[in-house]
Amino acid sequence: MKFEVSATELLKKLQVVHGAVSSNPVLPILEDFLFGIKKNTLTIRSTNLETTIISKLAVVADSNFSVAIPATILLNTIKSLPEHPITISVDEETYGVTIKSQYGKYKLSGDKPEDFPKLPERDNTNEIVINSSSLANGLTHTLFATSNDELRIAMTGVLFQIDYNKIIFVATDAHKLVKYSIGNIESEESSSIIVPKKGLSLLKNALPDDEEVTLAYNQKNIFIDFKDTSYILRLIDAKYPDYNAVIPVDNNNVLSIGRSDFLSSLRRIAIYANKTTNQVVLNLGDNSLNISAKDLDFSNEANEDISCEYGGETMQIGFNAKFLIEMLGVLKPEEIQIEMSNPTRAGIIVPVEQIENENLLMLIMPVMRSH
Amino acid sequence: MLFRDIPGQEASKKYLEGLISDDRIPHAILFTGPEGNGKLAFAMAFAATLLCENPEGINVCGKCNHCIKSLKYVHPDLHLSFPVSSIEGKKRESTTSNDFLVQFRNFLSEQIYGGIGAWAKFINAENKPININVTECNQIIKSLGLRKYEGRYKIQIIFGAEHLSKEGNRLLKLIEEPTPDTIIILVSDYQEQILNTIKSRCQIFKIPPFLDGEIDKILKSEILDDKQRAEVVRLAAGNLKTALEIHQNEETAYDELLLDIFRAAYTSNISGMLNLADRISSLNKKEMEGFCVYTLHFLKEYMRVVHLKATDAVRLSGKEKSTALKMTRSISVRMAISIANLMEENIKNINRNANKKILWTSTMFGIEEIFAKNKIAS
Repeated sequence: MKFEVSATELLKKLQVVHGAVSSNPVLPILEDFLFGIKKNTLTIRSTNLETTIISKLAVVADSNFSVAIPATILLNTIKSLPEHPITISVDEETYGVTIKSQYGKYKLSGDKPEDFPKLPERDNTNEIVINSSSLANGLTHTLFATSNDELRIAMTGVLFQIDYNKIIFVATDAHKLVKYSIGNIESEESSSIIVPKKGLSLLKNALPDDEEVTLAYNQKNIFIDFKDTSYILRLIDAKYPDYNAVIPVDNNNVLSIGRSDFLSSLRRIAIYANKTTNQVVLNLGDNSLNISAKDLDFSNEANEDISCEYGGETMQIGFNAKFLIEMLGVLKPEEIQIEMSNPTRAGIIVPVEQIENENLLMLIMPVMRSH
Repeated sequence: MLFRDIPGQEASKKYLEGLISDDRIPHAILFTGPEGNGKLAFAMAFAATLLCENPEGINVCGKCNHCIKSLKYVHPDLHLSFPVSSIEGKKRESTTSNDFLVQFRNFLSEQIYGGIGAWAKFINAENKPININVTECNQIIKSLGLRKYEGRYKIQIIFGAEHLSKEGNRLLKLIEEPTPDTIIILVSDYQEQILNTIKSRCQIFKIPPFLDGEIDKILKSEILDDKQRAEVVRLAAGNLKTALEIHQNEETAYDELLLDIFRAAYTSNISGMLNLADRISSLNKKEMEGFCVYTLHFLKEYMRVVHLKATDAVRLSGKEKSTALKMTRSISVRMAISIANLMEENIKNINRNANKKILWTSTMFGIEEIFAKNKIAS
């Protein structure tokens, strides 16, 4: 049983699939790639039981077979080989693997393919098709806002809320919340699932530009397919909090401001803020904004005036600078608006111009002012 | 481990079978009872049955994909947690069961009847503290937070649940109200040491010790000599772990030591007593504890010798028995009780890291005093 493949082609695929291989896995077999060959197509699979990555590649093979090969050794070998065809042959009984290159022979022991965890079943799935760039947008804007608190496991993932014609991505850690909706979707049902962030960050980095991506999901998993690669992520088994309840309506005090000016001003002011609270205070008046921070322990303080448009009531509102900087850093448009109702309610950050068919809303909780 | 590999214990098996057939499997169940009753084996077998594709009552098919994996303890829906010690080059607080998984699987296949002490020994941690830490608790919450992978249930086994210290309270919400198809099995030799908050959220399932006949059956293939086997069975007192240990000649020779102590104390041989105190102080913590437990066992059986006179039912080896018979003339039941109290106190003190030398010197004089007082009285 053997097949021939170009070393660089194989390496490209292995590097993608390697994302799901963990160094100290729960099951010994998870240190392996599963190679399956069927009609001259090589399917490489890896899993850490949470994320499964599958990639396909055309090869020249003499038969149909499968084998599990230790990931690290194989990847390091292929990495060190130049662009050249190589032959990989497998012993039918012992699963011993031999790699033949122009330089010589490399032998390693493979494992029984039956020991590899079963591929999650694709039954009762609902399918939607989405543009890869839109999906990448949705993920970039939400992933950073997820929580790390295992006690509230639902919030450690991103909520995918699928409505008949749109999909909404939501992430929150109880201090900030991001809601990103993408329209122009066709779905046969309305449902919501929670996807763990670890797999999503892997996926985000692998997404191609402007291609069609299929999202298929059932009660257990979400299957994400594009080109010759598939990601299968196991869903979080929990209920997502009712996030709409925390988004305030009637926000009459609207601040329009340039994002980069505001961001760089905040970065300077934050240096002077108390290290534990990171508190900055926005002092809003008629078309004027004063940002200030005070650290009473070290008698450090700073304040800056920056130009803006503001027509609402005069008010002072405190925010955590770290969160604010994080959120403004993720945003791309230059002109943004911060909508507020009063100093005890959440502030909403939205870009003035939304991308077509997409809608972004960020929410940040205010903090009690100390100065 | 499968139920058919566990000898006897029919009543317990029947109970678990009832749970499955009536479809009222508790979401959190605590397997407990005396050491060496096979509770870890029960937990593993129960998990295998729940994961099997076509189980027949309590027995698994042994052929399906799930069975093959759960027999090797590598099923993706079977999560194992157990107390661990520190390892070199890794921070204690980030060391979790995951770092010891390979060893634990070996432990399961080699010494599934051993208790938590056997596990500590297995990872060379007899003298190190072991526990289930915060990181592990978070790991449990995280792994059970995902939907099940391929099985009918997702099963978490927590071996040595008494080692969940106050961090275990993080698990309360999970144990009380896990997501559907989640089953948490706790295994512990020391039910009374488990956090009350956790215990009150579990169904407690006590497994009795093995019957002598059952142990006899297990050892049949290993010890061919009937008489020898009967001896081992009698000594084991329903503890399969002890039985296997005695059989593998791991019997620690404490009988000589104990006799020497009694002899020196009885004759008020001060230098001999001090020498003995030195000898015991050179043992490690677990061994010292073992010696105390042995003494308690000996005294208990000794009292039966005194009262019953019928020496056949006594769980002592031949040599021990003859010593005990000789002692009846000089050691009264009351004296035996005083010595037992002393040993119980010692176990506590050892665990509190008492100075070994002071502890054992004081014990020697304590025993000597007990003997001396009673000599005057008589």
